[in-house]
Amino acid sequence: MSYHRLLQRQLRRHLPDASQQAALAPLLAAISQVYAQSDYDRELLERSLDITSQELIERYELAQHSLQELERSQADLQHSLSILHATLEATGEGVLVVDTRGHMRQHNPQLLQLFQLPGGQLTPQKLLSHILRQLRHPARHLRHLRELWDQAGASSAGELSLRDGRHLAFHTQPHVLDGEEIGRVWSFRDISSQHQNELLIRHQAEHDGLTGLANRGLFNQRLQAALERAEQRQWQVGVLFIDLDNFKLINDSAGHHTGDKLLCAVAERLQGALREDDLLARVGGDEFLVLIDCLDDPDLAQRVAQRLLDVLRQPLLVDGKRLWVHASLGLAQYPEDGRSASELISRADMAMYHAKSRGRNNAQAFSPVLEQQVLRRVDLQSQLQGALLRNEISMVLQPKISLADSRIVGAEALMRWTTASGQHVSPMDFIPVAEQTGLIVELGDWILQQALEWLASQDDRQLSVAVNLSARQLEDPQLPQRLLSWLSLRNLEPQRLELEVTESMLMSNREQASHFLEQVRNFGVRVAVDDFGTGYSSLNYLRWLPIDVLKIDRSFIHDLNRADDARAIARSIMNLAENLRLQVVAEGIEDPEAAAFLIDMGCPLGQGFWYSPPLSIAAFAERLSIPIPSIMRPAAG
Amino acid sequence: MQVMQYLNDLPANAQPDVQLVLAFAQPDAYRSRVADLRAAFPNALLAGCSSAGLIAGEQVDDFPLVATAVQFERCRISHAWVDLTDHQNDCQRAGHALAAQLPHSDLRHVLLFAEGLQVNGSALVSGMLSALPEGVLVTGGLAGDGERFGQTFVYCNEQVGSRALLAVGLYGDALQIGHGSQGGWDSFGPERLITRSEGNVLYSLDEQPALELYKRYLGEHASELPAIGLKFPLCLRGPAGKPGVVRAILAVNESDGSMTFAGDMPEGTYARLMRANFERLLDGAAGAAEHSLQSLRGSNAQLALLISCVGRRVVLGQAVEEEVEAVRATLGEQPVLCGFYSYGEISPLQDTTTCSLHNQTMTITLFGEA
Repeated sequence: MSYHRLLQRQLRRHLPDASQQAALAPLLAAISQVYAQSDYDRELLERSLDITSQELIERYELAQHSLQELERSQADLQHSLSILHATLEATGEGVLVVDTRGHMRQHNPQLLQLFQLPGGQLTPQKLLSHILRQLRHPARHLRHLRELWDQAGASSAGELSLRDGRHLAFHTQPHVLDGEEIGRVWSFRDISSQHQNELLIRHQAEHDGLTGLANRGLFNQRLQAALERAEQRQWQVGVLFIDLDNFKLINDSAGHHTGDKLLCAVAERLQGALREDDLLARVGGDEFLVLIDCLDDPDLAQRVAQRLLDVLRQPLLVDGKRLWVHASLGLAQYPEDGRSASELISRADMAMYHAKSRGRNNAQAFSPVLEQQVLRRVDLQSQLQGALLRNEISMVLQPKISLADSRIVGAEALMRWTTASGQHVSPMDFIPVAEQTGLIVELGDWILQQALEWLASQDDRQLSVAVNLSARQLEDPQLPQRLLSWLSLRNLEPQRLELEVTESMLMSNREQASHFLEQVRNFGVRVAVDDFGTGYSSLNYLRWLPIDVLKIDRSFIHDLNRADDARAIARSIMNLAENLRLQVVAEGIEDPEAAAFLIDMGCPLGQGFWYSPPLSIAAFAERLSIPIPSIMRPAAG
Repeated sequence: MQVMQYLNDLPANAQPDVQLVLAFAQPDAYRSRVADLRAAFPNALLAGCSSAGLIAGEQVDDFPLVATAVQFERCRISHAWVDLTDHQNDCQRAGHALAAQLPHSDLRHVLLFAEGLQVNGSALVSGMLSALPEGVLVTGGLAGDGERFGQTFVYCNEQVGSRALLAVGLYGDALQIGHGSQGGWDSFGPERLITRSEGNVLYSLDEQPALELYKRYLGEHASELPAIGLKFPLCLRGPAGKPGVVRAILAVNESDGSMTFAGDMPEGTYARLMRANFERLLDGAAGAAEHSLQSLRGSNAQLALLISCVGRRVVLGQAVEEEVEAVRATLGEQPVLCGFYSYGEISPLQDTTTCSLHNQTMTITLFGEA
């Protein structure tokens, strides 16, 4: 075994004697081993120190690299932050970011402005109390906030009403980092103007633009609610249907502008006569509904209706003019007249129609009879459809008599309806129905043609025929031309046809009526005013309407031998006609006394049961062929 | 309490009053001399293990056999013996079973000698503590096989087990125990994160194979693994403010690049290489002795069981006896010194009563009788 190099050198120098070395061999071996181990250990140690320093350099470089990365990320982060800040400042919304303990972590100037917050950091308590102080319902929102607090990850949106009248929309969602909720982001937007618009739109949707009253939709809604309450509390509820009687006339004569103002004045006056709890709605041109809520006295609704009639009887001052508007009122009450809103409104409507038929300017309460009448009308309406086709309608002719010699000079053509079951329906019943449904146009054409056909078949070319027109026919711009073609087709002189219109027809659409009548009169057709004396106080229209004949209303003729005033009126009409160079016909002569008075007054023409009831074509022909007996001539006086 | 130490030569007359013989020996020597031991100490428990060097008095050498006979006046002993294979090498369970075998009544202390290569010392101690009465401490060590790391043995009377655990229970109020354990190694280089491990098998540090790191440090000496690894134990960083734990290498696995340590290497723990500092190793031995004396609280120690790490012997080389001399200088002339160089030491942590596995330390248990 050789010793360590260093030991060998030491032995050569200090113990060269081999025998001495041999004697010390175990010691020398131990020393050599220590030298070797020391070398070994030093080598390992040096190596390890070398590697460690290398590793530390590697780690240093790694740290440097990480630092650079960090600096780069920091720059990126700064950039992102500046974008975030710019975005936050550019947005129209107020943005607030809070941590889970409620501390403000981020916000923009808009937020401070929206809530008038002071700048700088606010403690969670101050921030919350500052915002809550401005809310109209702080408790409600605090509750909502607590719910959100307890619900991790919840998003929420809604609106806040502020004490100063502003409205804010908010949205909030959790701020999540690596799956953990670390806060909450809130955004707020001022939606006050939007809110105002919504209110306005809602108001417009529920109110009448002209009068500002509730419209039908809102009325229905409120009535529905009132009925639900009434059912619970055993109350009554009243519904009044109001229709102005003569509004159309005023509208036409004074103009739409005045008409609109009048409606507003009416609305105001009606409103003034109602209790605060009652609801007034405008549901049509001149139609109003009143909801009378919480009725504990069944007569109260009647009294309210009466009060409304009364206040309307006072003239209204519009554009410096005093105007009188009357109304027809219909009343239906919950629960006896109906249980649903639609039922009550339609029954109040029926009652109102009843008031109209009772001469207007009055109030009527609904009753089951009314409904039966309406049902009958509806029934008639359905039967009337197709009545012409089924030949159920026929023409009868009421002779028109020259009173002086009792000679038949013409006829008034009238319609008769005999249903398939043989039932006779009075024109008083079916004409209004035909007018309402528009069937009148067809029926009107039919009777005109029938009358002309009959006239054409007559040998006596002196005979004339009178046909009643309906208001609807006056609105038909083609009718004058049709008439002309029918006349010329049958080779009839237009003068032999007389068209009868009523005063109300003339007045309700003056322009159209006058235009229509002028056309037919230009052809030569004659125009008669039927039922004269019952309609309007103003006779002004006689000056400018193209009229040939006045037919004195049967009510005056009926009372001739009983009432002085009737005689005076009849005489005045005859004077008027004479002065205006109009012909006069007396209607409804039912007894010899009336005939005698009229002859005595010098009335030239008349018709009525005393002379003849309406006759079929055949009966009329027969009647024509019989000479007029002198006994038929009434004795004067 | 009387203690007699025998180096190869056993007493000619039988010593029937000896209760415990600590017999540290080379396996062949134990097998050939166990009959002699029995003849000399007919009534004693023969307890010991193989090692990486024996301590007899102030001497350290590869003696064939060192027997230290203990005759207590008032203490009693019992023992428990468990084969790891009976517990599917689950050290936690085996430790629990071992401790459960010992009668618990009046138990004051447990001496543990365990197989040194297969065992996970941390799991073993933890299993034992779970079955022992509170306050009973465990000291001892893992058997060794020189610097060969081939096969270790535990001796219990006539039995020699290669996968065995032996616990010696010491009973009675008169028994007085002192213990101390100290290393004296310096950490160096950067801290490294344990990124993959399973129990006491370490796979990677900072995502790099652990074995590669060691090979880089050892260079041409890498072929001397695992023994040379003893020069570079790992220090595991303890929880904030607590001392770290030192782990010595027991084996390497070239195929998967892993290294097996004497105790747990938990993932997520930071580890640092350590190296020896001659003077500080000697200071460590003296410190362990000092600490053991302090914990004896002024009683008289008759016997000192020194269990030192094989790593210390490798580093100290011919100077290894200096650490035993440093112990003697601290303990004084009275106690008999016996013990061995181990693959792992078991003792309470410094300043605590929580027992655990240590490496690279001098671990001392003092025995006295009031």
